[in-house]
Formats: sequence, structure tokens, C-alpha cells
Amino acid sequence: MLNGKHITIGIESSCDETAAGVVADGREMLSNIISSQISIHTKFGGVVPEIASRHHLENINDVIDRALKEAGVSLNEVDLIGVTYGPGLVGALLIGVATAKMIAYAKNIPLVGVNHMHGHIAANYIEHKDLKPPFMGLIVSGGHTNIVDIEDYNTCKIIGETRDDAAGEAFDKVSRVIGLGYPGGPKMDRSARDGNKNAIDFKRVWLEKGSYDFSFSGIKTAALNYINNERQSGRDIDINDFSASFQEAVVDVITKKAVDACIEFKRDKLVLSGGVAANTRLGELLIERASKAGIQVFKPSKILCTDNGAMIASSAYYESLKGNYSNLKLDAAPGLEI
Amino acid sequence: MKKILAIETTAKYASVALLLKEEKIGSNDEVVFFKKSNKEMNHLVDLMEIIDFVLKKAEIEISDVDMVAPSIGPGSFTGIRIGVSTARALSQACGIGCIPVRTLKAMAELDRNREVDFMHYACTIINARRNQTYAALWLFDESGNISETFKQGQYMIDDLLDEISRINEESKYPVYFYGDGIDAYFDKIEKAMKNKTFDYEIAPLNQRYQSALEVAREAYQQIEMGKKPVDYDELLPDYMRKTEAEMKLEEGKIKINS
Repeated sequence: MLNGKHITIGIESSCDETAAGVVADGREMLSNIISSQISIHTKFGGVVPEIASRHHLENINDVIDRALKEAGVSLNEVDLIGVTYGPGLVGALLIGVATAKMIAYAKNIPLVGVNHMHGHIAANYIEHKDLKPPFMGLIVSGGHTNIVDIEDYNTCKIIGETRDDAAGEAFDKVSRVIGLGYPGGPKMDRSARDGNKNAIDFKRVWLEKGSYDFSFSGIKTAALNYINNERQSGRDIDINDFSASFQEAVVDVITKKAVDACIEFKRDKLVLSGGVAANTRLGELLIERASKAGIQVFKPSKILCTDNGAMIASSAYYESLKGNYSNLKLDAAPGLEI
Repeated sequence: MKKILAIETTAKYASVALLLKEEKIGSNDEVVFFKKSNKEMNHLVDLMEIIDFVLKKAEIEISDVDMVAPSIGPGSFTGIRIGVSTARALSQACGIGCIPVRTLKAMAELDRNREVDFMHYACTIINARRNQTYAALWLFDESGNISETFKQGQYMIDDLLDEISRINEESKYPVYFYGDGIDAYFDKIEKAMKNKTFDYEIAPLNQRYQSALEVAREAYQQIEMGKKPVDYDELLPDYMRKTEAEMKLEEGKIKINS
């Protein structure tokens, strides 16, 4: 406790960011420290799990230290530890889990294992102090593209999910081939702002009527074929127009399905989360379409969109209110479902 | 009394040893509380439980431990990290100093069970796959003093065996083998050692593998020799091997993405 407030530290190491954040009473962000390995993996064209794991180990204690320091607390004032235990890269996850378990044990602090996807949703509880379930969630990241109905804290029912690539994955792969580099999402976003979204018509994949599922491998293939054809014919590709058009094809499908799901399931709040939530056009088109249907859109600020520890702390807090704690046998669960 | 918590997670089974060493003059009292997991490669799930087990048995609070001594490698990358992360976290939470223990050196402690008083070699070998080993050759003198013969590191099994024969050609000391490298290269070791002019022995299964007990002994020896404990940010794994991706990058097998 600090000044009468409940203190949670959230620890996150599921992919290539080692992060820790301190949150008061589940929603007030006191600190959010992120040590990113993006620059290390860039030369390999993507995240190398073994390298990620080695770096997590070297960074995690310092990140925790800094999070505590910036929040003005010591471990003695921490009431709860939250740690991502899945989904993600198993070697990376176990660094966070092993570290959290020992700190919890040594300082006799309760521990909650957090589902990384629930963490992304919880980023919105920090950003929007009055946001409470129930609402419809739209999670768009490198590994996930889900529409989930959230009836209560940390309680998700999947309404739609990707049948192949996640949206973020598709952005990364196409971005690499077009020469924008890694990580693809942010780079395509920037490039798209200077391009014409109607320049190329990439065929949208809607799947069967009434389905809220996604499929991006078709659009990805279409984009890669386009690049090949243009290159083989010796024509220059306008990268900005390409980015804008490809991006439009992806967000067109995502936003329409998400809004339709809200209408069908009678939710007047739509909460956007995940790394791709930071995408400018996605946010823009989503708000445009949702407003027309009388639906309010919530999304986190940029730093809370991508992987961070504060969101994990928030999710852990609400899980603890339900009395759900983890024990010393907490294991990493790389394939953890939402 | 020194209380050292040793952690071993580089091998198949995780184990923990709490070494309580009386330091009064004229006293050589020591007590060890030891627990090993009975599940293979289950380190993350088991480690905190077996740590809790030995502490409860010894009726000692974790914050009263003087030093934490993890086995830092080489061995399983994942295993190494579970042990080292756990040790770093303990050090961070309770301000406890760390004694990093190199696995191949700790394994040499297995040899002390022989209680022999003549010059001999102990070869500790960890399987590094594809005919490779992480290995060390330890020379024991009559009084049990140990020295490192060549730099412990990554060696091809054939080169290692050749080198042992070459080094021992004149001295002809007995050579005792330890470690899971035996399991991987049993035939090669037997074949290489069979017709030599010196004795050799392959450790029986129950004395072959490293455990937290050897790690604790080695840690204590380090302390006796004056080694100062380090802070958690200086406690690092000793993988003895670069990642495959880095090696490929260096060999030019994959192109650098700028």
C-alpha cells in the first residue's frame, strides 16, 4: 500500500519487449518501463527467440528496479505481482515467470499469472478511468486478430478470430518484401499516410456470410503477387500508394466486422487493443464507422498499445478481486487461449 | 554459520541444496538439505517448490540465506536461464549476494566421492549435440587439490579424446569421466580409451550427473578461496555458445537486413 492505495507491479516478457509497470488501485499508472529489443532483431528480419530470451534475462531486473523507483515504491509496498504467463514465446515468458515467482515468494506478495491478451484489453482501463465491462473488444496484434465479447473483467468470449495470419503478421511480412523493413506495422502506417488508399484495389476477404472470422493470407498473397508482377514488368512501385491500399484492404474488413458484431450483440462500446491498435487508419476508420452506428470507441495511447507492464498490472488487479491467484507451480503457457 | 542456497537447472532434473556450514574455529560441521525434482525438464514448474521444501525442512527463512549459488552453465539454455533468473530475482528481492558456479567445475566435485589419494584426471563432459561437447579436464593431486588442465569450453568429442590421450601420454594418470556427454558418446569414449596405457573409468549412473549438492560444494570452495559474491546484475549465464542465428549471420549464411 502507498498512501492508502493498492499497489500492483506488472511484469511482461512474452515477446521482444522486457517491461514492468506499477499501477495504483488497478488504474492509476505510476510507472511504465519498457526495454525494447526491436533494434537487436532488425538485422535478423524478425524476432529470434533464443536471442530474445538471452536479452530478457539481462534486462528484467533492471526494468523492475526502474519501474519501482519511478513509481516511488519499494517491494515492501507492493501488494500484488502480475506476470504474463502466456501466450507468447516460451523462452521469453519463462524469464518473467521465474523472476516473478521468486520475488513473490521472497517478499510474501500474492501472485497472479496474466493472459497477455487480457493485458492488452486492460490497457484501456488505465487509459479510460470510467470504462467498465461489458463491451465488445477488438484485439489486433502481431499474433492475434480477435473480436471478443467482454462481459466482465478478464472474461472473454470469442466472437471472431483469424483463420490464418494475424493482421500484424500480414503487415510485417508484406512490409519486409516491399522493402520497408522490420517492424512492418509502424513503417507501413507512416508510409500509408502519404499514399492514396484507392490506388490499388486489393480484394477484401470477407469469408462466409455472418462470420466474424478473418483471413489475411489471401490479401497478403495478393499483395506479394502484385509486388512480383510489377517488379518483373520493370515498373516502379509507389510504396506509399501500395502501403495505403494494402492497409485499407486490411482495416476495411476489420472495422466492418467489429462494428457489425457490436450491432448484433447489442454492445454500445467497442474497445480496441493490441499493438496494431496504434495504426492511424484503423483508429480513424473504426471511429468513423462506429460513430455512424452510435457506438463509442475506446483505444489506449500509443505506449499502452504495444507490450507493456502497466497493462499486465491492471489485469492482475482485477483478477485478484475475483480471488484468482497463482501458486509456485505457475508455468509458461505459450499457446494460451483468450 | 554460512547458509548457501545452491540451484542446479542445467541438467535433466532440477535440484536445490541448502548448505549450512558452521564457521567456528575447529569445527567442520555442515548440514545439507537437498531436494531433486523427479520430473525431467520440468524446471520452471518445480524449482520454487523444491526451494520452498528445503527451506521449510531447514526451518530457515529465505531472507536469512547468505548467498545464492546458481549453476550458470553450460548446459540446456532454457535450464540455465530458469536457474539464473530465479537466483537474480532472489538477490534483487532480498539483497543477497550471488556466487556464480560454472557447471563443468561443479561436476568435478562428483569425483570427490571416490576419495582417492593419487594423482588423476576427472573429465567432465556435457553433451552439446552433433559430435560436440562442453568439456573440461581437471587434474587432482594427492591432497585433492584441483587444477584446470586446458580451458574449459566447446570441443569436438574426437578432438577432446585425442587431447586427453596426448596430455596423459607421459603421466599415465587414471582418467575418470562424468556428465551426460557419456550418454551421448559412450562408444567413442570406450573406443578411444580402451587400448591406452592408462586406466579410465566411466562414472556409474548414480554418480554421473551434476546436482545442486556439487554446486553448493563448489560455491563454498569459491568462498573459501576468497571469491566475493556479486550483485544480481553481474550474475550472468555462461552459455559457451553463440545463438545459431548469430553464428549464421557471422558466416554470411543470412543477409543482414538494414
